[in-house]
Amino acid sequence: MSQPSSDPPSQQPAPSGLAAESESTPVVRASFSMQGFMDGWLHCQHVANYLARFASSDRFDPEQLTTRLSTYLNEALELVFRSAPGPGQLIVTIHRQHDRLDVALACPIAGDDRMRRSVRRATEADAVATYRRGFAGLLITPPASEDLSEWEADAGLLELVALHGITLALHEAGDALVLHMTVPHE
Amino acid sequence: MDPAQPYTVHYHENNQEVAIAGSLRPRDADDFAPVREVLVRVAAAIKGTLYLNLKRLRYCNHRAFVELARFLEHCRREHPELRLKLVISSVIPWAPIRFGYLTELFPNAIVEQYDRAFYPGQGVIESDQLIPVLRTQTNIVWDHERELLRKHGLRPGMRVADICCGIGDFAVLLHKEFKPEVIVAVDHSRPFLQYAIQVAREFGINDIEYQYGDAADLLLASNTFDFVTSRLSLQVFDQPELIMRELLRICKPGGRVYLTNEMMSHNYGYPRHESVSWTYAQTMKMFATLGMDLSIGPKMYSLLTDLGFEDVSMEQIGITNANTVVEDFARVIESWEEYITGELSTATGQPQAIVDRLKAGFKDHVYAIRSRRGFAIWPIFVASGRKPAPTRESPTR
Repeated sequence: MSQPSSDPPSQQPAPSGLAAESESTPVVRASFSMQGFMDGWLHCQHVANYLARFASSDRFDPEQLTTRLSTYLNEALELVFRSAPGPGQLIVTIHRQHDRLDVALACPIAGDDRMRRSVRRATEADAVATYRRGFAGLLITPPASEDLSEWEADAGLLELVALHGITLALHEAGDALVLHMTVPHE
Repeated sequence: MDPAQPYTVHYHENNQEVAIAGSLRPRDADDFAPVREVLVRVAAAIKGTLYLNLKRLRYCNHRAFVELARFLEHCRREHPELRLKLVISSVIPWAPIRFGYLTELFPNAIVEQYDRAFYPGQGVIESDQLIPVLRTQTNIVWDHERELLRKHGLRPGMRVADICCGIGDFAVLLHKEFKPEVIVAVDHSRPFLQYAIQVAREFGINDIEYQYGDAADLLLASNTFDFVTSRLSLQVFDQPELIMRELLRICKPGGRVYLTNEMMSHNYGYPRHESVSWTYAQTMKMFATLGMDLSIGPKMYSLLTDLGFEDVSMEQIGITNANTVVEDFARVIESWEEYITGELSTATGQPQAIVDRLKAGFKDHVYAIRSRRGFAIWPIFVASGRKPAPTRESPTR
């Protein structure tokens, strides 16, 4: 297992599009150097678990909310990891609203277009039908190693929309891509 | 659990069960290979039903979900005669969604939501009608229990867990009286928890952590709490030993587990005691059909002793019309009557003649409470034990 990076906290400013994310104060806003994040696959789940627990504290049933939020956040972080964006910062911001959590995940724009493609596929009409069709196809293909099929790489986000009721959106903010996830409380 | 290997996979041959627990978030097929290897090997070696125990699989990324689905597909092709039973818990919120979807695709697989089977009477137990019963009960028992809790070792500033907290009113009283450092209250009823949090908010209390959970498989860490309570709850489960093991696990070495339970057949009212006794004997039978043992109170001493608790202490609270506000006591019995001759009788299919006789018995009990010359009792058994310090031979998990 790779150890967490010992890079000092980056002094780089946040990607410009984040400043106007919301008028309210986020419950958590964490930034990680991409280099440190990319050091180890397990960083995805460590970051997801920690931020989910933090954002769920002092809520009704924090264990349930932690489990759900970590599950969703982890899929998004895995996508960032697989997209292998260049140097810069990964910034995760979570706002608590009365009926939902708003999660924004900003990262440098990657060389490939994987993130845009995944979000586009996940937000097309009738995500449920798309997911079911694609999932059935996956079962008859052998498991892949490093290079996942295009569909399998996208399926994590698509499942969040199709089965878990998460709303996704993506926008560009200067030199960063910002993935927005809306997580209903129940 | 090892942070670099945050999941476990074990095969229990005796049960034909592969248990996967923890956080299963592989990066690729190579990462998943150790799990797949176990699954494929077991599927080839057994006949009948393969149990996949996923109750304690808290996290599973989509990649792992796909790999598990591929294993089901492998079984469908290679072992078409093999049945697969996926055992999950509703406490893990994504599990019913994902695995429910898988069973749509694989007719050879079924999902068993284990905690639904474990809480057979829950639909009856969590009815709105029961809330006033529980509140009144807590009120009159608390007068006796406040001092008993001290006697059994509860002190201010402790870390406390109240398992099967029901509507949460005991946790609120305990919070006010003992000012614990931490108090976590767990129940498997969402309506009760909603009610509990609403009451806590109304009282301006925001530092009780309410948690939806399965008492037989808690998400709480081991060796965490100084004082673990579970009141009037073992009696509503058919496998109380599973809960006892979890209470023991989350309790710190040197901490105490505190239990209360009833012996319903010892409820008594004089005069007309034959009618009263028949009614409670019949009520016990009705609860038993839902898997509940309303006579477990005196058995707690052996439950604690058998699990290795030290310094086991046990006594009885006798709620009587001589030591309790008569109208409060009468109201409890009247609310029992309403609930047992209504919802419980319907749920257990009692004929009208039995319902009428039950009603008469409850009225006779209330008569004994209110009568100037009558005597009525409702006994509650209280027990606690100290968790021993771990030894090298028996480490706690």
